[in-house]
Amino acid sequence: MSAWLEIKDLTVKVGDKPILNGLSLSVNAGEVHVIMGPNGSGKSTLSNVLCGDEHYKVTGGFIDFKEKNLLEMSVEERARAGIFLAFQHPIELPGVSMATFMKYALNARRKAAGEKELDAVSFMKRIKVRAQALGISDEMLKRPVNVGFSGGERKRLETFQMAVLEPDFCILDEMDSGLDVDAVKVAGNGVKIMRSPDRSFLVISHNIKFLKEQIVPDKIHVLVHGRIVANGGMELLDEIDQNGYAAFQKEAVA
Amino acid sequence: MTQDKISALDAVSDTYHYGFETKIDAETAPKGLNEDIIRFISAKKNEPEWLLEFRLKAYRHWLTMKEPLWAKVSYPPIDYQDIYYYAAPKTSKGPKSLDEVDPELLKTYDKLGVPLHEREILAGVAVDAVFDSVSVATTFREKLARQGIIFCSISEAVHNHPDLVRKYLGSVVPYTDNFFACLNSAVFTDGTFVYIPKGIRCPMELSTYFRINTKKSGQFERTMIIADDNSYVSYLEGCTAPQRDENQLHAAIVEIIVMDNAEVKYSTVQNWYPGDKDGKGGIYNFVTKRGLCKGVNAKLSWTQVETGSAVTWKYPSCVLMGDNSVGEFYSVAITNNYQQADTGTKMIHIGKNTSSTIISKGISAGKSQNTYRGLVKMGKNADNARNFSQCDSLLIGSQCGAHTLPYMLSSNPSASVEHEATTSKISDDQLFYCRQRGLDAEEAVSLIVNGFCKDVMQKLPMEFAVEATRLVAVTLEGSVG
Amino acid sequence: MTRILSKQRLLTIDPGCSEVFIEKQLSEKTEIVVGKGAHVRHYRLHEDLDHSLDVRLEENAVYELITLHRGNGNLTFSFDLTGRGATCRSDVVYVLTADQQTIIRSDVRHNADKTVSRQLVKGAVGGQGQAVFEGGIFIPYDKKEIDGAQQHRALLLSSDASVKAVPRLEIYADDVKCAHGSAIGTLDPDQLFYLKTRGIDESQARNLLTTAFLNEVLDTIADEKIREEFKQSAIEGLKNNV
Repeated sequence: MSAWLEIKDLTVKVGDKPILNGLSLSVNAGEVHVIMGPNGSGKSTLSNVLCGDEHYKVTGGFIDFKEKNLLEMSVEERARAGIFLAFQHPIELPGVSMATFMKYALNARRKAAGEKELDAVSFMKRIKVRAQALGISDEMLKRPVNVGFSGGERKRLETFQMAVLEPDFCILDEMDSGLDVDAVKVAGNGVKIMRSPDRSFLVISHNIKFLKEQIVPDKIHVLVHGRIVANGGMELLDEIDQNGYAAFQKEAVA
Repeated sequence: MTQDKISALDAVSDTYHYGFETKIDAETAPKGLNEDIIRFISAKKNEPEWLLEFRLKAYRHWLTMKEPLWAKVSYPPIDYQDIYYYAAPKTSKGPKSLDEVDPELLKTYDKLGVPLHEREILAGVAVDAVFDSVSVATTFREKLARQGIIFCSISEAVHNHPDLVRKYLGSVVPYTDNFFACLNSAVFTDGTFVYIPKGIRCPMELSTYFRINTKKSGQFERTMIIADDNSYVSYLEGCTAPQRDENQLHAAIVEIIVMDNAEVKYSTVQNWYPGDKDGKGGIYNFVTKRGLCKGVNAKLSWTQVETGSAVTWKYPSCVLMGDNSVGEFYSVAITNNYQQADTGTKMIHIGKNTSSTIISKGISAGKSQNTYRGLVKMGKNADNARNFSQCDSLLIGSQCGAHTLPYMLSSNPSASVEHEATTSKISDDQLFYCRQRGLDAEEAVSLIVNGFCKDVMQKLPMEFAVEATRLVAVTLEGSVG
Repeated sequence: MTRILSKQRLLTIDPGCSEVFIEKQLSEKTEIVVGKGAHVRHYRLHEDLDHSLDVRLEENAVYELITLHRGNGNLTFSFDLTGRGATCRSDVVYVLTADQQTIIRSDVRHNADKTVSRQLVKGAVGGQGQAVFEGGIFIPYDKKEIDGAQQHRALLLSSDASVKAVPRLEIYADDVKCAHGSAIGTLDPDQLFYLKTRGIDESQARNLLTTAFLNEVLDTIADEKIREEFKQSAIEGLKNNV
């Protein structure tokens, strides 16, 4: 059986600059994978390409998700198929409340799946339960998306969106960066609650403590110069913690 | 609250909902304009001599005037002799009750969503419906009459309340005011008349739906609202027209008089037919709306959502004469395809401690041009007067235009005028973010635009807000991708 | 090095040059071409005159103008950003008193991609002075990554003074970030009160606050000597005014 997400020999350019140079990766249902690597190695490019950001040009290789060719799908089709990106820098939508935003998103997804739209009562119930669990007040739900929130609050709202939309494949792009200790725990808790045999995670992070204590991944991959240069388990975290990426970078050059 | 309104936005797939034509025999005056036509209109309406004189004076003055050219709009010359100035649904007399109203007409209003039947009116909206030129039915009148509120067609008011009409007709918008107002003064056929007596708070929102039905007919309605001391009224105006290839002219006048401590809220959702995607057809909407805050502490608030019309030329204004009077203008103007809008407001501060607020949101898409034009004037005696204006424009696509042209004039050192304006586009990042959550590009644009307009949308009465929110989506269809 | 110009009609700054000009004697019309990559700081001090200034900016040129105008006159400014990446700053201070009248017209045209414009116009009008400011930012079809901003602020210092402002944004392209603002008002009574509680008399306090208002522009003159001269001239213009 092929994996849930199968990336094979992926090459990607931004303008004329190659960013990913033959990246391969498989993630099975229910697994939590971590991508680590030095700055500029292509981690954020990978998450944006998975979502279909048109600024990135895929020049080779393929990405299959649940045995469908992801590269042929538009951004919103991928989202409706269950791909979710928790943004490193969430975008402001002035005048659009989080509640409205989620209603649109949820109904778009349900419509694509041939399900009926949620009525107002069930929708409010769905978002309130999740908001409470993540310590998000009603007032925050009424405020415009990401406008006037601190970095920590924005990240918490990304987690909240993930909980509301219940995606199959969650990409967390440095969701712990810029957070204080408590906020990191909340972020980690969100992932713990969401973890299920029907849901996979791809976590991009530099924070070894966060990964070890909160995420507890199944697999670790090291990305250097747009290519995966090492795969392993928790032991890789210790190695990176002690020696950094120097050894991997040498391998990549060689 | 607004979020719920926005949530009520449905996906709407067809483009112009109101483009049907009602098959009714219309009684029309011959095409064209001359003194005989004006006499015909006046005679048809059985008008008193003074009103005929008013019309003829206006007409003679109009002959000396030229069409204004300063607005940032362009359209082929209008042949004023190729228009029907009077078109009425053919019935011998005015309907006495709803039962006498042509069922075809009632069906039309059903399609428009006008709650004309008494039972629907229990929902709280009293409606005066103007069909082409004649007011067909005014509902809920009795209940209002018990409080002394007059809500009727202006033709009826001419007969039943001639003193009021004569006193105020042309007092805020004189027939000499501008070309289109002058034309209206000569040929206006019907419209709504509202009088709220002293100390009365109108218990429901009053509403007029205008519809242009007959081919090649112009609509020249005239609305007059008088709010006496300590009274309050909220008035809603909605407009639609059938889809036609030729352009139709709409030149209306709204005059509002607000006395001591009175307040008038005037809300418009303007959804005249904008023409097709190639710019063919559509309404020319050349409208003069002005209110006089005559008394102390008078307040007048204009809220408009302009989505229709091929060409819009419209500046709902406030003359703030009474000390402490307040003027407000909240506007959303959306243009797509080949639409052109030149709209804004005038705030004329005359009295002391007067204040005004202007919030304008312009959205241009397609090949359209959208202009905000406003005037804020602080007169010599407007001590401590205050104005704040915020005008934001949003551009969708690279072939449209957005223009901001405020005029500010202050001759009083204690007065303050403040204007801020921005122009920007929907960012790629915002679109990507929404699409990553599963919205398609059109839904994303409509959501972002509704967010952009939120400050204005939340000023609308509930039932209008839902319609307006949906119109945003409809108007912007095809603007992305 | 600072060059002092007089009655200049045409001024061409060669590519890559960096220069500072100061002008006190103006002809009726001046044309300036700022060559590719050149950087110009231009200071002008004038009183009672009709004058027009046309500036053209080529690729990556930077042009910074600070003008102090006193008294009567019709001034017409035109800034044409024809080269990609050009940046234009055009600040104006005007001071009017007695029965002086001035009309200032300014047009900024973003005729190339990635161009940036900034304009801050501040005026103080006393006596029966009448000022008109008409300022436009124009962005033609097809231009990309444009950033334009204009602010106008005017103080009315007497009950017979008047100011008219007509800022204009005319935008025919969508890849833009544009803003303008205009405010007409008077000195902040709270600030005046505060100064008076410190023992400063009314006229001094008004003078101080008006000067501070105008100095938002004049303080950005890098050269101390020029800065002090301009500030002094503004104070002269305000005499018997506040």
